[in-house]
Amino acid sequence: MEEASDKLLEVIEQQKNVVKIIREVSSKVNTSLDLNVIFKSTFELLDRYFLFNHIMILLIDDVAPDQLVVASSHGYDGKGIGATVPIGKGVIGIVAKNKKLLRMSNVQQNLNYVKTALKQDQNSIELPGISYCASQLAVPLLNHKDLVGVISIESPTIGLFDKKDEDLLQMIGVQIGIAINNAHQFNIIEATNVQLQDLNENLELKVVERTEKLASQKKQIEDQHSLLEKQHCSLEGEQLKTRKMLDKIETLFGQQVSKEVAKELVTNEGESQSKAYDVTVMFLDIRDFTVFADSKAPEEVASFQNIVFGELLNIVRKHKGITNQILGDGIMAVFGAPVKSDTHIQNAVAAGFSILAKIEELVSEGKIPPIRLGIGLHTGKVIGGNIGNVFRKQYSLTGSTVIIASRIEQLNKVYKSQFLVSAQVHQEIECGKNEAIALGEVELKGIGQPVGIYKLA
Amino acid sequence: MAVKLNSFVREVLDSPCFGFVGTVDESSQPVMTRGFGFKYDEALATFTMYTFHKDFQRLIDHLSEVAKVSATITNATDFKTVQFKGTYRNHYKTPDNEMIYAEKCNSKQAEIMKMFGLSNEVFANWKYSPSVAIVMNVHEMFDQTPKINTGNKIN
Amino acid sequence: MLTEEIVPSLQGAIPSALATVDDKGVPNISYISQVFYVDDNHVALSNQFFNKSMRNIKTNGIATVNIVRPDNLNSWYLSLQYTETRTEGELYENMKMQLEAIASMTGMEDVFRLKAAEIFEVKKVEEVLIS
Repeated sequence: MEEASDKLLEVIEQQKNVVKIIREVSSKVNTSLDLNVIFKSTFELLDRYFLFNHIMILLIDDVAPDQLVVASSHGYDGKGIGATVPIGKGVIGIVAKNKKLLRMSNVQQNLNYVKTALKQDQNSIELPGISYCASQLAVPLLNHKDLVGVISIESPTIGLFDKKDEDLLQMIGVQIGIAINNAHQFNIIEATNVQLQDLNENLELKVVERTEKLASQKKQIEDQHSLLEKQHCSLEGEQLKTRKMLDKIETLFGQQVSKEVAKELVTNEGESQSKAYDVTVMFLDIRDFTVFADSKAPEEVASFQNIVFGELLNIVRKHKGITNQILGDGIMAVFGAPVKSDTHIQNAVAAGFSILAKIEELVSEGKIPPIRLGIGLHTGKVIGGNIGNVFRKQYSLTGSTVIIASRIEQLNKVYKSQFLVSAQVHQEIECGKNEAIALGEVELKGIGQPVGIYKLA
Repeated sequence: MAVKLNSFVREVLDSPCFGFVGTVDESSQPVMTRGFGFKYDEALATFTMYTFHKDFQRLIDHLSEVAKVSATITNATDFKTVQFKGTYRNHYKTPDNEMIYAEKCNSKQAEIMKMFGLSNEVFANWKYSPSVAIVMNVHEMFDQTPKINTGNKIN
Repeated sequence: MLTEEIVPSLQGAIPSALATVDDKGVPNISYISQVFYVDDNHVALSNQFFNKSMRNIKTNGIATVNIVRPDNLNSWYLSLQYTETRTEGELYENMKMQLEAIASMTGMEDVFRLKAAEIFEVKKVEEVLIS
């Protein structure tokens, strides 16, 4: 009688233990989207409850789905991570292939048996694991019916695992499989996002680089032309030359500069050297443009571009700036060159606010889909190119001011803002000054000193 | 009728082996017992299995002059296996000197089994004494190593 | 017949001896890597290599196996009676999977396959305790 009740107590204890384990797995493993946390919790649980101390978790290789990769391990001194197991090879590979668990009580001896029968001395395949594996229990990790990976427990002790271990691991395996799948998918999405961001950044810089390169190549050809032109013009006389230049400037720059600026350019066309200017540089980017463009028909994209860029150029021109470059998803504009201005900073800031207001208007009128912008301003010295060459569509502007303005614009992604300016800009403005939020000194890529940043919108 | 040993058989005899010796009972059911040690006598062409007390009685009861006996030893690590077939010769209580020899044989097995993860204590608990040595006349030998054409007769 | 105590012996931890008899009354003893648990009154052997043993079994259906518990070396002799051959079903698939797992490590999974699971009824169990 006592024996029977003792047995019953033992069974009840075991059942309680099972429930405890399942509950712990649920609370620790299933609540995490972090693969490392999932792995660590799993190992810790299994080691604690079962004294299982050689455990590997393998996941299907994203790159080569016909094999598994050791994602994490416990009790192998960190070795084996990254090792692969072809699906269909060995205990782990067979479990993966059949999506069924397998418990073996004497792997090595069975292997010896087969090798003797086949008169083989060595394994033909190297698989990760302990060197002398007696017992092995490998459980498929499933997400519904799909294989996510395999968890393998090994021991040098013969016959370590029993049917109860099997049943419990099977249950845990299901939970872990779902948790890993969730975390894995989350990681893939995160990684893709980072890649897209990087790509975007690189794209902008590459466009700037490329445009500068093209500009300098063009310069060479244009120099030749200008020489010929000068010769031609000098034959026709001074007045003809002036008239022609005016016409040309209006045509080329008409869209990008105001008539006043154009006139100024003509008046100063005698200048032939590069000059230093105090300017405010603006970089503007249309957020998620590529994503938007991908989902629309080409005609829609072109129409959107025409409307938006048309407005941008218009506003810059109105504020006495010139659009120096069109950069795919945005523009670079400069205020204070080639025509000097005492109010270039205020002009640039006003232009920025004006642009934001215009875009908002266009969105609310349904003329364009809802888009967000990123505007960055910085002020400082630049060396401006020679405007005497009428075939140029843009200036060359050199100086860290340009780079800093570009970096500030990129910070909009980080601060989820639309209009960021440097401290040097902020201190000179009145409009919007009090509403600005100080974001502190920020390290900018490629710039030695940190720059103070203010958020205007 | 001395049966010479070839190198294969010698190799297996010198290695750590599991062993069983058996015969057939009245109802044609095979009966066997484990030997924890063994010895081959080339001069007499006899094979001796040292059996231990809990196990041997089940076999002794069925051994007689006409009993057909088979004994098989198999290497614990690589499964190379030899089967001796013949007839019952005699049996006797294992004297101490032969006991030492048999235990030495068995300790080779124990070493291997420890490699598999079996504990020292288990072997320490194995009580061999009293032991009975069962001797058979060997007429034939077979290579029973697991493979496609297992069971080839040797010599 | 196969108690909870015996079941750990049916995992292939320690190889088992298999004894059969031919039609001339000559015993045949060979080794097999595992005796598989089917249910409390049945076990299975994997048919791969034992020519003489299989011939004997198919002739008279009689076999005796010795199975050993790996943790305490206690063993049991099972007197068996052949009942059927299976080439499908859960037991066969499980045995097949085990064989495949091992054979695939040697690259010989196409050669080394489970032909059939031979099913036996357990007629008698004799216990041998080592201490």
